[in-house]
Amino acid sequence: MEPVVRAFVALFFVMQPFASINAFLSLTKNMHSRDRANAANKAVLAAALTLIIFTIIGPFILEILGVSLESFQIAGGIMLFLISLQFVLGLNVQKETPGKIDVAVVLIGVPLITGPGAMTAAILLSKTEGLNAVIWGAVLASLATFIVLRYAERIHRFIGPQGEEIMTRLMGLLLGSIAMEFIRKGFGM
Amino acid sequence: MLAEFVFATVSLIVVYNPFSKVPIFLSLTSGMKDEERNVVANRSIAIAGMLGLLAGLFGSFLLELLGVRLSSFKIYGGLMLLIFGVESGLGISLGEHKKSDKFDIAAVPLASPLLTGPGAMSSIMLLALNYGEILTMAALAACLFVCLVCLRFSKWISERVSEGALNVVSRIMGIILVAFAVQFIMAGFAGD
Repeated sequence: MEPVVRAFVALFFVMQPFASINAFLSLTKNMHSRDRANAANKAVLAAALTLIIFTIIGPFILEILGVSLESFQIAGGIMLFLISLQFVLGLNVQKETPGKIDVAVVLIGVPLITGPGAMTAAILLSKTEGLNAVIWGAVLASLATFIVLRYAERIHRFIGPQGEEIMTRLMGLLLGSIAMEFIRKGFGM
Repeated sequence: MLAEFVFATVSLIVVYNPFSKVPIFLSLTSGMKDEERNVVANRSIAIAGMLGLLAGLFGSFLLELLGVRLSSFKIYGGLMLLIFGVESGLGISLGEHKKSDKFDIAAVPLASPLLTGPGAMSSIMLLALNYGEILTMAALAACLFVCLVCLRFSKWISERVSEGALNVVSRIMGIILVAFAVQFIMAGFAGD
């Protein structure tokens, strides 16, 4: 049970749904609630599938390429660290912002700004917690993300942009700490 | 008990460093009327307090749940402070910062990372571990009170101190913050 919880929490933090609420709401501003629900469905489903597929294939690719777990832990940790900077300090290290047009694309882009992050985390977690736990964790995290997006409007009204900011910050902080752990493990510390 | 409370409060005040926030606060609220400025000050303290509360109560639990050692959190917090200190100390920006609108600045950057940043959160978590949640929360409240006073009196302070002087103080604080951050990081590496 515990590995699943760890995988779920870590992946949920990486997916940062609270950070997406703003973008999601502004993009789906003119939609009927049914269309908005559809957009949320599509995005999360796509994200979840990509995540699961990558979790399964990823380790194989790494093995074929001869990349050691430790190297990937360090590299993955650095990636997650840089991504966390965005959530904790508002420091954008990415030069491009995701394209604006297609809602589904951006939604897939926004939870998956951490796409590389989520996949990295998933692969790293599969080594420490086991593949099974990560798949379940990914499913649960996607479900939780879906719920957040589905009730985005209500959540936004309840906690407001500042509440979202706080959540994003806290999750970013924890994400960064997870990244630090991976880097240290990679170095054998 | 009182000695511990005083120690905790003073530690937090050092970490929070409200005096150094005056120039930044003023520049962030430069166009505003006094009432608006007060609203921002109140809000940012409230948010900073909330963050501190959550960190103190749930921080250690969450870290443990995720299998993250406190020392890793310290290293990470230290790195955050480092980046932030370098930016303040040199007056540069290391990347694109998010644009925030008027009241948003109460949350970012004021409440975090300026006030309750990762360094503050780590300190709060450590204090909670050593002295218990209640004492830590009381110390936090006292510290935030001091911060609130500083922010609310910032206009008053600025009228008596030249802008140049405030700038210099801000830069120096940035450098001290970097040193502080390095200490945090080293403590993280040494710990556990």
